Amino acid sequence: MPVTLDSASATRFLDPDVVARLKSIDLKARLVVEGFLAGLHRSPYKGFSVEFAEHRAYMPGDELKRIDWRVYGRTDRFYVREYEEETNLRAYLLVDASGSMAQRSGAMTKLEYASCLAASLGYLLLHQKDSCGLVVFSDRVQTYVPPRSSAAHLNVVLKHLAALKPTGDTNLSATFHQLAERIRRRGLVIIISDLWDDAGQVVKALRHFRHRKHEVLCFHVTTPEEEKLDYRNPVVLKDLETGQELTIDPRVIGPEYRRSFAEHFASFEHGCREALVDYHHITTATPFDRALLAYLARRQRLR
Amino acid sequence: MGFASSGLLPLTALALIPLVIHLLSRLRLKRVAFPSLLLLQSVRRERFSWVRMKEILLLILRTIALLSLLLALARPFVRARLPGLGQARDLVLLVDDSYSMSAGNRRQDALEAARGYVAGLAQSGRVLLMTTSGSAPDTQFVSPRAALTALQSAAPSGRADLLNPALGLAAERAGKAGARLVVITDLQRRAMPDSWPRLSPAPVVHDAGTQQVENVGVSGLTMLPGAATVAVEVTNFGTRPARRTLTLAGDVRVLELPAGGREVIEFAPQLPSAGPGLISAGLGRDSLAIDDTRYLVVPEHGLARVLLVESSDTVSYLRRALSADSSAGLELHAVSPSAFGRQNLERYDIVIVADPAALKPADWNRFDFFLRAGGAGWLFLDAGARPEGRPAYARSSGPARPSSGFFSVREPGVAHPLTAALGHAGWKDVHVWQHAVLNSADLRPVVLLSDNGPLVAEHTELNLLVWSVEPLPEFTDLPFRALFPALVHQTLGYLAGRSSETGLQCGDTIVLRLRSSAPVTVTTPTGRKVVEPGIRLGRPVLEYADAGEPGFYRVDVEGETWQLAVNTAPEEGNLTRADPALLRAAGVSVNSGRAGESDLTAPLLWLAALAFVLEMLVLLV
Repeated sequence: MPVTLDSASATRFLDPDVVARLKSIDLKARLVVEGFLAGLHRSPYKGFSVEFAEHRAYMPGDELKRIDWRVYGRTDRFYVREYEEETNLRAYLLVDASGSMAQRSGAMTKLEYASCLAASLGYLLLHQKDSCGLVVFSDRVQTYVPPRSSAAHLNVVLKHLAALKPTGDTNLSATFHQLAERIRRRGLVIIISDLWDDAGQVVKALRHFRHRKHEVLCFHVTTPEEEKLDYRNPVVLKDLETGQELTIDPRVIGPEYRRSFAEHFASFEHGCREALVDYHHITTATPFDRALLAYLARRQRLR
Repeated sequence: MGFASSGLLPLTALALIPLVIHLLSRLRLKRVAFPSLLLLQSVRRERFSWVRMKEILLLILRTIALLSLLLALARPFVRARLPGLGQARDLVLLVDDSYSMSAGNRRQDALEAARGYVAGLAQSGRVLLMTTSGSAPDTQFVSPRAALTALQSAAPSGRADLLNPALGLAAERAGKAGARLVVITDLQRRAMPDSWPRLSPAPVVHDAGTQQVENVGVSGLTMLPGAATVAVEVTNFGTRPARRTLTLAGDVRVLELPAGGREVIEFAPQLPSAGPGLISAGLGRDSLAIDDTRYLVVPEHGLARVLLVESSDTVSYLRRALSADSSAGLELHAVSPSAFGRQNLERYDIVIVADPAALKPADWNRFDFFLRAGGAGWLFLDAGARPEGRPAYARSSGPARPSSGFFSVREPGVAHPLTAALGHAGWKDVHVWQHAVLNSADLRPVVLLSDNGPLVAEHTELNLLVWSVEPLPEFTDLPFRALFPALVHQTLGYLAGRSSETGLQCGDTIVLRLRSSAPVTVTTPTGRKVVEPGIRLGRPVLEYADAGEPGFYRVDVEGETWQLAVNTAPEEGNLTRADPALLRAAGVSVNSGRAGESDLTAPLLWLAALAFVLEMLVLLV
């Protein structure tokens, strides 16, 4: 029997630290989405279905076109119409499972965060009757689950996500080019990766998706440590993919690295903007609703 | 290159500390998993080379700073060509090994300087190593290496006044061999010769006494007559006030001595009821240890056998003074000069000749024989003495008569043990109407008159005191003074004390008249030796010349025992130096510091400071 959470309890599960304590990925996905939806009741991002479901009181931010003027005529109050989703959206969740995703920050690794986010998105997608597929990749495609919209398909997606292990190198551009060729039907491509590759090449590969008429939503997952490099003393950094070691003094190298990292970000941000790709930078400490909201915003534009 | 404190050289291994810390810190670095080194490697190309270089630079600078400091502790130096020595092939090296050379690091400096001079010679050069005490083993020119080896064993063991005769000998050897003469000395003023030898080229004096040394010494230790009181004289020879602790037989006194000050402290030690008393007065050790302790043997109280040779009743002034104190411990026997020849002088400890004019040459021979065999004599010299047949010490060059009516005592010489107990006061009103002019070079004045002629003098070798005036009213009013009896008894006590050889100085030869010619055991402060006695004037005599160490000496032979005290000369501790400028003005070439050496300590300290500053700059960049 499904557990029903009140609004306050549900939103707790948007916090990665809280979610990390849960073992089952389907539970994670469900609680994240429920928490997200509970939060949505107070937000303007509600309702974009095509079949009427119910009325609710107008809230500032709701689109005026959604006001039901007939009800206004009868009751002299503003109500907006809410609709059940009617979908033909095919969404592809592309999850990076390369070795670099194994970096831990706080309670979660980047891969755990990515899989949790992917599960939540999948849950949300399937909950809205969209088709959801899953691609797990590193320097090559490891897993390809074609999109389905059946409720049972969620289990397939979650099962694969639960089994994710970080492995292999990163070769984003080649993988994206390969996938762009493989995914023929137009859809929404959601990429969750730490994007540790050459920005220019990656953006070029993203353009390939766009060329194939896909909408692309890119979540750039990082950790605070790799952004700031704020270790107190000299450390030996071990590359999670190549095993190579490098001794650095963060006090000396830190400022230069942070500047370089900011440029790396800027390259992605700028390249994605030019390629009309939704780019979102999130860290493993970012609450899940931010990513889900980004998805919803993109989803709304697809209507 | 050499090191003055080479014992500290192992400490330079500590210079590896920065390297060890560096390596350890690298081993202990935290390892962190990082997603990709992609960006870091690109940054590395720009920054890592500088970071790495900075790290290595800091490591080098720290190592240099530490190594420089540690090397500076070992006081390194480099040898260069010796100044003033030119292209000398042979070298006569006269090393002052007087006691003053043991002060501070003078000996070490002298040895280093000697090494410098010897090392500066050509390979085929030869060295004649001489010491002022004559302790150097070689008397021939040897190779520089052999000379250096011999030099290692040279230790301060001689009196300062030996420099003068040694210098003459060294100059002679250098002159004959055509060698350069180098004298290494601390320029102790009392040792400096009146004139330096004329050699071409001029001798080189190396000043090994540039280190300022403060010294306090026990300069006197005497038994005062009458009471069993010992007077200890302590002198501060230094230029700064000194606070010292003086200990005698468990009695401890704290002394505050001004610069150049002298203080006499009296002690009343418990003397043994039988046998001689051995007393030592000691200060805590300072930079010159040789004069920090002084030794005294208080002879067992016994009757002194005195023979008084007199020819007239007027001399009874002297006899009355001698018998004024019945407790004086005298066994007095008076004879006329004509009976002197029949006396067996071996029966007497002291012979007083109050009327020398009445003695015949044969009597003078017997008197001189008696003195040279170790007996004590007291001679009142007559002003109109005939020199024929007399020993040199008994001759005078006529009377000295004052134009102003009388002579008075100008310098009573109260530092002398003979007159120390009498002080100044008693001498003030003494008048002398006429005195004999002493002309023997072997007599040194003890009490001077206003015409600088001596009233009392003592022989430098024999146990003999000579008065330049007879104790008669026509020559002096001294017999009517209260001072006179005290002076007479003090004189006899002094002579008796000298007979028992309690006033020996380091380097003196111990001479003892023996009754047996059996082997003698001499116990010195450092060991025991068996010595065969010699024969002098038909009698067995111990002549022991190795009394170079201050302390108590004991002589044993067939049931007879002598206790002797050997001390340094009171002025040996006076380290006052001659002015090198005056020597240079006298045409003597004077070097100082480490001969031919450049001290690298200061440059190393500067290098350490520079490395430290550079390290700070690198850290700031």
